[in-house]
Amino acid sequence: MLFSKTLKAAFFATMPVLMGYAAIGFAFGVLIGAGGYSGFWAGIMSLCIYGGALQYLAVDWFIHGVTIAQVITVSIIINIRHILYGLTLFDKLRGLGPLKPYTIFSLTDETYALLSSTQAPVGVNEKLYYFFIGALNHSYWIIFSMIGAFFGSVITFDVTGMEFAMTALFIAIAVEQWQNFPTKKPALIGFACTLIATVFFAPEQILIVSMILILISLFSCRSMIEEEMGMGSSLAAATSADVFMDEGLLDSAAENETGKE
Amino acid sequence: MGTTVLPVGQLILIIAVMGGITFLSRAFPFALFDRKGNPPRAVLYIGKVLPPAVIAMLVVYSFKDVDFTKAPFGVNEIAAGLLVVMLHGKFKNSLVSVFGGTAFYMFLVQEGWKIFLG
Repeated sequence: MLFSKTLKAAFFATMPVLMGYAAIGFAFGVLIGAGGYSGFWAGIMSLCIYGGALQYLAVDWFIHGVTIAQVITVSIIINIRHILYGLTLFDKLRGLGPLKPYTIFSLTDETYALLSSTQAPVGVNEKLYYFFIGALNHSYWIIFSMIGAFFGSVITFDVTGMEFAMTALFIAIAVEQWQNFPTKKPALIGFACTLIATVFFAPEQILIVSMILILISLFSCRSMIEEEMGMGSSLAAATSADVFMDEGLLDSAAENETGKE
Repeated sequence: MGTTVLPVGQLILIIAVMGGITFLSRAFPFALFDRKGNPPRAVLYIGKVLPPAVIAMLVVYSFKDVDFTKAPFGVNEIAAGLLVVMLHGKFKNSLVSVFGGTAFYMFLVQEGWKIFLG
C-alpha cells in the first residue's frame, strides 16, 4: 500500500521528465538506429550510461570508431558538473541503504532538478520516493531510446518540439525557487554566468565554464548570501538553513493540495 | 543483438568507460564528503546555494541552440517560456506548466507559422 502510494507520487512528480525523455530519448534512439544499431544497443547504452549529452556524442563514435583516450577525456569533460550536484543531496539520500548507489547513478540533470527542489509528499516513504524518481526517469530514458531505435523509421507521430518539456520543467522549478528561496543571488549568479559562458564559449565548453564562474561567484558573495540565508557563522545557524531549504522548495503538486484546503 | 558497425568487444569497452566515468562523477561528492562528522563549512554552503544557480544554468543552457539573430528570432521559445512562467506563477503546479508550455511550443513550431503563411 505504502509502496504503491509512493510509486504513484513519484510517477506524478516525474511526468514532466517523461515527456522530455520521450522526445530526446526517442531522438537518440532514431540516431543510433540510423547508424546501424538495433534497439538492443540503444537500450544497453541507456541502461549503463544514462547521460543524454554523452550518448548523443557516442553515436558518432559507434559509427566512425574512437580511441579510448578520447572516450575518457570527453566523458570527464561532459560529466564534470556532476561532481558538485551531490553536495546538495547528502541529507535526502542518507538512509537509502542498498538503494543508494543506484540512486546516485541516476542523478542526471533532470533527476537532480527534481530531487533538489521537491520534498516527498506526506504519507509516502520518503527515501523510496527519491529512489523511484531516479528509477522512473531512468526507465523512461531506456524505453524511449529503444522505441526510437526499433520503430524510429515507421512512427509517424510528429514529436517536433516535445523536447521543450525539459526546458519547461527547468523554468517551472526556477520560478518556484525564485519565489521561495531565501535569497535571489544564487539564481541571478547562475543566470548571468551561463549567459556569459554561452556568448563567449563553444557549445561543448558552456557547462564547464558556467560551473567554474558560478563557483567563483558563489564564494565571492559568500558572506552576503550566508547572511540572507540566515546561515550566520555558527553550526546552529547552518541547521536553521536546513529548515529553510526544506520548507521553501516543496513539491508543487503536494503544495497545491494543501493550499486548497 | 542485431548488427553492429564496430566489434562487440570494443562497444562494450566504450560503454563501460562512459558509464563508469558518469557514475564516478556523480558519486564523487558522496565518497569525499558524505560521512559521519561534519563536512567542511564551505562544502555545506555550496550544497545549500547550488540548486537555484544550477537550475538557472540549465534554463539558459536549454536556449543555447536558439538563434536570436535569424528569423523567427527565438519568438517560439520566448513565447512558450513566458507561458510556463505565467502558468507556474498562477497554478504552482509543474504538470500544468510543463504540459501547457510544451503543447503550446509544439503547436508553434509545427503549425504556428503555417497559419500566417497560409
